[in-house]
Amino acid sequence: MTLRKIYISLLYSLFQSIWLLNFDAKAQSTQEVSVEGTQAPEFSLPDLNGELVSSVDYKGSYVVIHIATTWCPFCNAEAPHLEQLNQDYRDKNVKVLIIDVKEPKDLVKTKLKDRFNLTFPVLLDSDGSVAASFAPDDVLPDLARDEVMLASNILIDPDGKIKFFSLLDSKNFDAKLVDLKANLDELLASD
Amino acid sequence: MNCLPQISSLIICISVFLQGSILAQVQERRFVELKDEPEFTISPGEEKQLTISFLIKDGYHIQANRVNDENLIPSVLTFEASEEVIIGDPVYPKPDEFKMEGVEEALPVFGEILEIKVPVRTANPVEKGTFLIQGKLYYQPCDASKCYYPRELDFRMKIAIR
Repeated sequence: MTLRKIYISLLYSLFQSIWLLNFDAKAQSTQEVSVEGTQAPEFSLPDLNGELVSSVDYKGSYVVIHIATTWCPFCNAEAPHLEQLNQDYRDKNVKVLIIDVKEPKDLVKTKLKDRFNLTFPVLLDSDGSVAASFAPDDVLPDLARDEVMLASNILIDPDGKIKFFSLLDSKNFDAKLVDLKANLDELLASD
Repeated sequence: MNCLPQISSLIICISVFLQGSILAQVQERRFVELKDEPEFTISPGEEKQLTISFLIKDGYHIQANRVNDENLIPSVLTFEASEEVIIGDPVYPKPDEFKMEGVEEALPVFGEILEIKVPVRTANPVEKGTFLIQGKLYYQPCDASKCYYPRELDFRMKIAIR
């Protein structure tokens, strides 16, 4: 009887190892996951003026969301191009938002909004929960969910569905948002 | 029945191997590790320059100690104060250059092996013995297209005064 218990424990240990192996395989792979066509999570966050901005307000428009921090060089490199995209596409029913993660309002205003003369809303995700809500479960599961999303771009269509997700759709850094704009142009052309 | 102990041993070995290797990989998400546990010997009254080596995970880099954009977070090596030794300002190596699309000036970064020199001298007077000093490397890691939250690597440096 004791021997049987030992064997059950050993088998449990083996299965646990195999589960960990599967967990690690997921940690290494981001290519097999797709979020395209899935419903984007809804959110409400304050902007730098303290006004609550809700994703529901953007239904009926294309929305480009960039997840940023002020210390992220990729985010800073993209910021002028996001502003340019905002200027170029504002008459095409396209809205741009930055969701800044876990940083104080004054810092974000000075180092991001004012520094890059951003004319679109910058929202404050003070606990990272909104950024985390966009992170696919299977991508980099050993990292904090909000951390996975840093420097990512997301394109949401007027029905609230995700149409582009740079974390999965872009292999290289794309400061000029070439991939995102190509997707956006294609969607606008098909409307 | 005689072969049961061998089967048990085999299952244990496989489990330990799998769990050990997998957990070791997950822990690499710290991005930076000590190359070797720092251990030095110094004589009373002597002044030495110690070298502390860190390994930065393949495919990643950390911001250098001096950054050319005030928004970025520089790497900082610090030590807790000690009654036995006086530790001077760390001397960081010349950084690598990381060229990023959309930014004219290359970013100064550290990658692969980071060797930081630390001037150390004994206090006066000082008792002979072996002491542990707590050190901390604060760093902000990135890969080729993404950055991660700043992290701290805590470590202990063993100094023998003889």
